Amino acid sequence: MTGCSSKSMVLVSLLGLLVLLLCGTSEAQSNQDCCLSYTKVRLPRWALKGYTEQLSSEVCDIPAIIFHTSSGLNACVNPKEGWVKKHLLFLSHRLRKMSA
Amino acid sequence: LQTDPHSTDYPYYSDYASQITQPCSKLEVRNFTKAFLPVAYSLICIIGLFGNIFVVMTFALYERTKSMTDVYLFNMAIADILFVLTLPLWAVNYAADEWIFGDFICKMTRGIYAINFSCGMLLLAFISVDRYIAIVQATKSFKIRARTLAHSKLICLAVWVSSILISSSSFMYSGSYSFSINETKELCDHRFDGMSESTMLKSLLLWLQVGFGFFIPFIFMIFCYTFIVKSLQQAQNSKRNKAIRVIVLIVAVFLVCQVPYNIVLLIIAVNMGKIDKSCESDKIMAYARYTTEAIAFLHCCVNPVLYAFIGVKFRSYFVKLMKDLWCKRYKKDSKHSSRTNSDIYHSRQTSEILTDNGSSFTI
Repeated sequence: MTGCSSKSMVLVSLLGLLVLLLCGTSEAQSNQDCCLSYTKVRLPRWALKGYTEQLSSEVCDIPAIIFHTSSGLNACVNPKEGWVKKHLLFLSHRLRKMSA
Repeated sequence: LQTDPHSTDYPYYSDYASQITQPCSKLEVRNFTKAFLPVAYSLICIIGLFGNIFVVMTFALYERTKSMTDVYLFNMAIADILFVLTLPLWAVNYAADEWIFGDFICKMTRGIYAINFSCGMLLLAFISVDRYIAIVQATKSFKIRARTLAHSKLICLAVWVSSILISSSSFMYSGSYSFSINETKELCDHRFDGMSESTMLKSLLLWLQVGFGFFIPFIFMIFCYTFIVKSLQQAQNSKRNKAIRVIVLIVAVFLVCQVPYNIVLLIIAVNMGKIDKSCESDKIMAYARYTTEAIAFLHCCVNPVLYAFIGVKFRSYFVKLMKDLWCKRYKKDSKHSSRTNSDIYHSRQTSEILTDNGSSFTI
């Protein structure tokens, strides 16, 4: 029966080593505002005032761009879509012009 | 610039407005966490500190003949103390809805939290193994237990080192950062900067947490305690029924505290990264997570009661400790404090006479 405790020790420490770099308990926050899905329609460029980026590496699960419209709405859009990329270029260009 | 066509295009635009998907507002959840978590965490911290400090003191002052389970319980009490000491910081975090302690304390808090969580769970597994050896393998157990006891420091060191290794990602990947959506707000959480598979990593972490924090101790407990109950049923012992009751209680409390939280974590892990989750169900999951998490944390307040205070010997030590503490204060008041040392010595002697070779903490 020496086996039982030493075997289990080996088992546990092996498993511990396996997940050495990855594991860890997390006290993650689930109380922040996040985009959960994307807007299904295109937004006209003139309605946009600015944008924010939602990073999936932080508390939110999915990557997203949040377009702020001039009427005060926030639209979650998919950063991978072509029209979003074009709008982003336009917005950052306009921002640069304004700060210059 | 494109700011003038308001009036003409307004109907066209409002059509878009109805189709826009906005970020899911968790204001309700934040109001809930602002009120509920600081209270719950403070209570768990106070109760946990009291119970576990008494276990540590009783163990350090009175216990001479230590069994392996005693050593595990002592370590578990220390892990629980460190764990509950991080809770006030989380209480402040949720009350202020912001992390105000900076990056270093964020890393430390999350690290200590993770280390003690995994340490506590590993020790629960080891305690069940030790009891299994003591009761089921009773004939061979004397030799084995003497041997493991000789290595007790080494085993505990291994438990602590593996917990630190298991939790190393918490040190590496956590930090305090300003939230990308609301840059005025500092958060203390995992952050996988520059990693393309961060969603997958997050769900992997949840799976591993459930695996380590729940399934490993659960499997050990079920295996060991099933055999213990079986062999106790065969024994003709007057204390048998009480022992079985204690085991059932230990397993039941573990399940009640840990199962709801781990189910919620599993559901979150399965749905991690899925697009088109509804805001309502996401809010419900957030409520469920915070509530079940508090119940799971409660486990470390119950541990001293379950494992230590139920033992007759521990209780007698505890009563002695209380008496001694009271006497100490009384004597200090009447300026005879030099006597306390001999007093403790005296009570140690009497307690030694009272003990046999068994564990003072266990059934």
